Amino acid sequence: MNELCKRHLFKLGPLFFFLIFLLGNLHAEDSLTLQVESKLFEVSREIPGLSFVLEVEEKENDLSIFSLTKSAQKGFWISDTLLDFRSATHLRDTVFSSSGIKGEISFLIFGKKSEKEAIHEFLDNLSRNELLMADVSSKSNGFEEGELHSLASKVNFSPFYGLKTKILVDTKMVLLVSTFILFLVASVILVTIMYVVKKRKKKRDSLTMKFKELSFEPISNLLFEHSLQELQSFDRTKFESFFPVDHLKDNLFKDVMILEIISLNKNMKGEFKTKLKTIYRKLGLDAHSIQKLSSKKWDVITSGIVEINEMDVVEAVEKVKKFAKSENFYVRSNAVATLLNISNDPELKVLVDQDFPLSRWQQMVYFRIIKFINNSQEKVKVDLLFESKNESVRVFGYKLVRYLGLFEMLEILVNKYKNASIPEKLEMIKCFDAFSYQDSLNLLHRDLATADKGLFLGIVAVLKNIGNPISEVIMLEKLKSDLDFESKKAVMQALHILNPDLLEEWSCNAKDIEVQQIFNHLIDPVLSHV
Amino acid sequence: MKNILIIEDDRLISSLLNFRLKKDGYNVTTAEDGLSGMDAIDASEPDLIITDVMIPFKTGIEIINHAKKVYPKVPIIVLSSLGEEEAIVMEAFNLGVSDFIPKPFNPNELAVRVRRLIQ
Repeated sequence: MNELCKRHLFKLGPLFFFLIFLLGNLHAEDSLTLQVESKLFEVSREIPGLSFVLEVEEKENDLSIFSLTKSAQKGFWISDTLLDFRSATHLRDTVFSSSGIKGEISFLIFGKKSEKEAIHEFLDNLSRNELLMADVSSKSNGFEEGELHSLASKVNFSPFYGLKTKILVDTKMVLLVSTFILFLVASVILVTIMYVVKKRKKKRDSLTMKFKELSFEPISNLLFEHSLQELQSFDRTKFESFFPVDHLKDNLFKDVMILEIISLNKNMKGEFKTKLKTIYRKLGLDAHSIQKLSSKKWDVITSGIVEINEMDVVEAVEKVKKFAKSENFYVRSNAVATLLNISNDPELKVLVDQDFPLSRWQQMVYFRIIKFINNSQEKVKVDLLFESKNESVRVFGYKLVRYLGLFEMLEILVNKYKNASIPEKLEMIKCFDAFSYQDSLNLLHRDLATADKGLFLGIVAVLKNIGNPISEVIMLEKLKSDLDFESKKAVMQALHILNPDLLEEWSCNAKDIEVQQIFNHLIDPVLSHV
Repeated sequence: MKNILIIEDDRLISSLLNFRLKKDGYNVTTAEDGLSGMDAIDASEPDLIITDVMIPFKTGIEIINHAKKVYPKVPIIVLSSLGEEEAIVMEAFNLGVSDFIPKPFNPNELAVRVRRLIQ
């Protein structure tokens, strides 16, 4: 029994599968027909090249009333080519309702009859290329979206959201792009400038080296092969014949020449200095240095002033004077130093008229020049500095009294002390100390009452060296008052030097612990110098 | 022809001395720093050495020490700025330098001293 069933099943199996296949195919065909037809209902008009024809099989009745024409094929009536699927279905339904005959709609793609599968594929292609939306149900502005897409397919493609439009509309994007472009442009400019500057510097350095080599031999020749008298008798043309003619008009060559001459001038002495100055002047390099004063660059002006100073170009004094009050520190410092050096003005007027305060560096530079003038040329009139409106100049004047040993000025200092400011007084008392000027003691005693601690300590330090018995009494009285530790220590140190017995007597009776401790410290042989 | 070695970092002064001493008929070698100076001492067998105290890479004192070890009898002239420390100059003299010339100097005066020492 089982064997028989199996055999039947074997025979019927393929048939069963064939039936399933047919059913499936039928179902697929129906669903395809439905899909295609539902889509065509909506968009058939918008699809270019797609048209429809109704075909009706009828041999007996006349269907010409439905605008159908008899086909060459026997028993077939066909309609005109219709562009709208809706019209085609409407005609089919009309024929069917009137005559009971169901027609078949044929599909034409660009006039060629096609199967439903081909139409389906055609529609799918349109959808994939976004020329036809798959689900088009909504309407907007009176148009169906499918219509719009189809219309769009008739014109050349151009993206709706173009990059240009998007960037211009978006403010943030505009800012971002602008910033990026700005950064890019700035970077390019910066790199270009750096490159140009570096290249120029490199070129300048190599030229400088070349000019140094070129200038060395002619200078050596002039220095060692010709006497000073010969050099002084040479005219400019003769001098120029020693140097490369092509470069003599080059400013860089002139600068290199000047630097070489100045460098040698610093290291040479005697006749060679005069020779170098003769070369400098005969080659017209002094005019080049003076020309630098007209520059707008402060560093060029400064180098011009330095050159004038080093080579003693006295005729440039008037031009340098206008830089003596320059706001630029370097220009001003060098101008004042130059004027002090070459103007031959023992009254130091350029210093007296200074508006800007003098820095310690400036004071050091000016002092070296003034010391040189004072020792080698004419005695400088330092007292004129005391009349300056600039406090730092007056203070510098008092320093000069000390450094140059101008003890004859001490009397003037005593007269000025009363109305002097604290910084001036501090400098004055150093002078009194340096010269052990006893005549100043009255002033110092009076000023021990000052509220300024710096001045008080300064006076005590001076009294320690030049004080008299009156100083001791006054200082002892000060100790009895309410002094801070530092002042107390300074006074006790001064008293310990001036009159140790007096200090010991007073300290032993003092109730102040600090006084005891300071005194013990002072008399301790080990700690006394700590 | 006598050999003179100049060890000086200021190229201008070195060239100027070279020019001046060649004019007197000496064979002159120059070095711009301490290291090349040491090498030149070993290589050139100088009859006289002129050296600056302050030079790159080695001090003048080191140069003098080295020169005195290699050529104890070769005279050495020290060139130095006035501002340089007295102690260094004194140390140089203690090491046996023959002469000391402060800057600024007169090249003709130096040439005379060289002639006197080399004889």
